Amino acid sequence: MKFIVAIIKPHKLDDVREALAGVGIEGMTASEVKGYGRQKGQTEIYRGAEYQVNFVPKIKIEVAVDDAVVDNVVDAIRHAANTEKIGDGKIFVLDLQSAVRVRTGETGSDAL
Amino acid sequence: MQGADTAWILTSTALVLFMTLPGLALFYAGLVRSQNVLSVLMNCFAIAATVSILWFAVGYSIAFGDGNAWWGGLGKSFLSGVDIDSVSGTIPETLFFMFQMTFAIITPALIVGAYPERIHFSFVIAFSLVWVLIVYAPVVHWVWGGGFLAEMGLLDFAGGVVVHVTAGVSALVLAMMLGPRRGFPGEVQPPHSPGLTMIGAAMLWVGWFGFNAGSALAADAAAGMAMTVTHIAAASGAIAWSVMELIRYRKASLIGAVTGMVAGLATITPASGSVGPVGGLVLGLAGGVVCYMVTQLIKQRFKIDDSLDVFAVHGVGGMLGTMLTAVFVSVVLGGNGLAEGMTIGSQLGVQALGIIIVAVWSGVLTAIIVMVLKMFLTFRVDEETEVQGLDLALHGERGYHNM
Repeated sequence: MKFIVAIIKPHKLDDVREALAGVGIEGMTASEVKGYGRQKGQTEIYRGAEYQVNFVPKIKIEVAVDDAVVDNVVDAIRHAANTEKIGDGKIFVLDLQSAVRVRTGETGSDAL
Repeated sequence: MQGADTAWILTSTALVLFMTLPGLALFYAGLVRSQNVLSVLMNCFAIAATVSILWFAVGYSIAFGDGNAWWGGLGKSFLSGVDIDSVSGTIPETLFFMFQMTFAIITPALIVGAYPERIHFSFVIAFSLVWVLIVYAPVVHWVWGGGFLAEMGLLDFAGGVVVHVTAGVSALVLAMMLGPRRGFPGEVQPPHSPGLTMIGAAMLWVGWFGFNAGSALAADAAAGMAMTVTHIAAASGAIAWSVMELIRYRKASLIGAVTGMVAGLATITPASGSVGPVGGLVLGLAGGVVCYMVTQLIKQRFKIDDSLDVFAVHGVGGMLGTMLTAVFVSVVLGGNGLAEGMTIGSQLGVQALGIIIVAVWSGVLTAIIVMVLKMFLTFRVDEETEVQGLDLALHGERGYHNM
């Protein structure tokens, strides 16, 4: 099993969710995060004073998948989240040791 | 006593209290970091409560007691001698006392904008009380209580000098003595909720009808005209500031528009009993443009962290309006006309002298009050508290709960 963490632009969340549903992924976790990368921050102006905001809003999606579908999932996220502009985010793939479904106690792939 | 006058001033009193609670409190609260939102709201609320009692105890007496040219004395302490039948002009004296109390509340509350996010709460309360007592109340007496500035012929209908110059200059001095927020000017965080600021500003606009039109102390033609010029100045101030931003940044911000509105209102305040609608338009536009430029100057050039621009908006607006009153009071320009024997030139001299005297009084006494109170109280919070935010450290609460 793999654990996939994707950092994407906020307005791409729905596209990514649909794309994941399209490759058979039934559950995921999304959270609002702030990131700093090559996109750098943005400048906001209030009453003529410029404020440098270094961390920009991003969405972090976490999804656990079977080894067999990892490539499909990563592709789906990459295509759905892509705007071909700087700041589109990153996808990380980690090894996942175990998974347990809280309600039934099922483990491993059955729990996903 | 006159029923119509009484009814209008009852209404105005409620409107002016509404300017502070919650108008000004929200206006300021939106401009700070989310970790300090409650401390700013609490500053305004606590000032309202404590100054009310102080005004009842001695403030009103110092401002409106019989006294002499310099102060009203202590004869009306705790409303001594004022009962249900006492009359002030055509309204009950209790009502006049209440109306003036709402001014005494909002004036120190304006200064909250100079020191948020780093000052200690107990210092805010101590400073505000002493300041109302020895800076504000005497100036009220000089201008509105029959004191020496009234004798001189200073035109200040609703408080350009009494409210905005005193608060603005004191704010500047206090901000300099306190020092800037951590990271100022480059790395302070932007306003956390411009929406709250707009809501508060909108309440200020409405409340200002009570402030200016109520200052007629009657339900009469002067009140009608005061309301008219007040509204025109608010609108034109907002437009002026927005146009300045559009020219410079190609974007008109919400915070800019509402700040311009406040600038226009501060500018029209001293003039609202003297000028006509065209005067209101010119003063509003002038307030928007000049206050916009001074805001840049104070923060960018002089690096003074008068955090929410109290001096640049209120102090400068009040001064500008007080000077322009001398011009636009002229009948030729649609005003009510100068007093007998006065020319625009001589009236300008009186206005300038009034501003200088009150500015020096406010600045010097503020410095002295701060120096003395610093010996007994924590002036500024420590670095850790400032980073963490004052809400949790000083008040034990958080404005926003995320899980």
